[in-house]
Amino acid sequence: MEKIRKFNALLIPGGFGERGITGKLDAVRYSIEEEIPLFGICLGMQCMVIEYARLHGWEDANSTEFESNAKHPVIDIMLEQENIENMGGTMRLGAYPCKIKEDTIAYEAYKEDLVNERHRHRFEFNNEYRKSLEDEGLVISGVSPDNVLVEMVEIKDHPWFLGCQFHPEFKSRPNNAHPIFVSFVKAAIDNKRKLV
Amino acid sequence: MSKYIVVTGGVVSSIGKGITAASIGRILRSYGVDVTAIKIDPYLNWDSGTLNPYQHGEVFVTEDGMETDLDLGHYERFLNVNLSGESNITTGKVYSSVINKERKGDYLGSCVQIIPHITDEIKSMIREISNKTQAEVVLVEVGGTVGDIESQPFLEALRQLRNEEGHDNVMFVHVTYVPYLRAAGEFKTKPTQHSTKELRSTGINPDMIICRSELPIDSHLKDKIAHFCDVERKAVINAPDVHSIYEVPIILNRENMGDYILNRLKMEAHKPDLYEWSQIVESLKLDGTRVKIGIIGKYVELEDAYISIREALKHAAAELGAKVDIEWIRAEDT
Repeated sequence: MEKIRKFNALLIPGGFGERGITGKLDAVRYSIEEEIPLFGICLGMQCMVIEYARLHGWEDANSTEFESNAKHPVIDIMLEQENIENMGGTMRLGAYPCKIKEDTIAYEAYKEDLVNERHRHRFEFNNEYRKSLEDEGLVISGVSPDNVLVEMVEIKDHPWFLGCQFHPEFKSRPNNAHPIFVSFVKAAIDNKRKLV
Repeated sequence: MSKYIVVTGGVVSSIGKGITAASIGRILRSYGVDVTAIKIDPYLNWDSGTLNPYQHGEVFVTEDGMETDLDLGHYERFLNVNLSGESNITTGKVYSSVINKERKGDYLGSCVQIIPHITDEIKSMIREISNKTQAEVVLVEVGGTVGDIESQPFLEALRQLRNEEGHDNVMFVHVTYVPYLRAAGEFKTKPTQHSTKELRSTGINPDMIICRSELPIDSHLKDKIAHFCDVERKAVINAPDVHSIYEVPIILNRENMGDYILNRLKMEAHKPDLYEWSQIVESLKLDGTRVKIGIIGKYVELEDAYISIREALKHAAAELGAKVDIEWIRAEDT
């Protein structure tokens, strides 16, 4: 934990498998407690959801990717992924639309209520926990247009805490920076100023 | 009908062949030429989705959902386009298509061979991109280095492409490395000579040689490379290391690369306008507020594993007049 104290902001990128998960969850908790901006992408968002659940009453919350018999599987395999045997090219891949909720960091950044972002994942936010986690203060700021898949999460009363299931980095261009990344770097600058 | 610029690599890999090819594309764009790009990966994997990011870097996902080589990310960023997944051709894709056709009986009893069946398949995949995009120029980057056993069918197909499309419609650019030997206190051109010789043994004569080097090389060395590798003197271009990858198009075009390519391909074009691009480069160099961002990941030993995230942070900082200092933290170490 000492290692991450010096940063103005933290980012947890995508990845697969269990290795290093504890460290990522620690970083999420640190960001919540110390109000450090945190950007979670793909697996990063999933870690945010797991740790948030653990801090709000579901102490054994986990993803079925790391613990197949998790008591509280807040992250679970997508329905259409359950019977897939081949690993190559079978994830949920490519651009899909995402509906953005107003009055969120996501909306403030995109200034649009429908965006298209690229995906690469097998696991997703488990809707069985959606209502209860929302009651505990988790904000679902982006969903698929049919409202089935949770695409973005945030929390209230935090300077900048945003996770997205998709990979916004693939659409950033040198002459057209991605709005979520701009919002995140701005939060890092604000956090640095606060310290001074 | 598109013109083709084939980019091969020699001496060693990881010299930034993808960025060099993307930069050629950006230069041509600045002349108003419509460009698209193809990356050939000679490995037998069908796509890069199952490759270990430790070895190959990030898996770049296209808009249409193909898991591709990270060079496609460079192309999208430098050319400001969305490429289709078909822009990443692998040996796996070529062979599985040919074997499927054989099973369907499409080859009408003939013995299926590397030449002509595999090479025809490669050419048709390349032409398909030209037909679909209607681009004026298609960049074709061949992954790996010349001499790799896997790349041979691709080089043969590209040699045939030049004959079929005509000399004025296909050109070859060879990217090599010119090492500096500290003990001898000089640059060495021999590896470039050898890799060019290797390329010529496949029947391909390069029209242009781009020499990557740590520091700028002098005119005398370029004379030597032109002489020994049998390319025009003005087609020997030096690309020394730079701070930002986005500077590469500007560095390359200082040696009038764009004019040379357009002449060689008998193309008419506007005057080049790299102004907007140089503004981008300048904004990326600005030293404003510095922020420290920690990235907690699994594959931090190879920075290329998160290359698009790194670039996206840089783009965002440039827009805000700030600078990000990125530090990579192994998730196990937090």
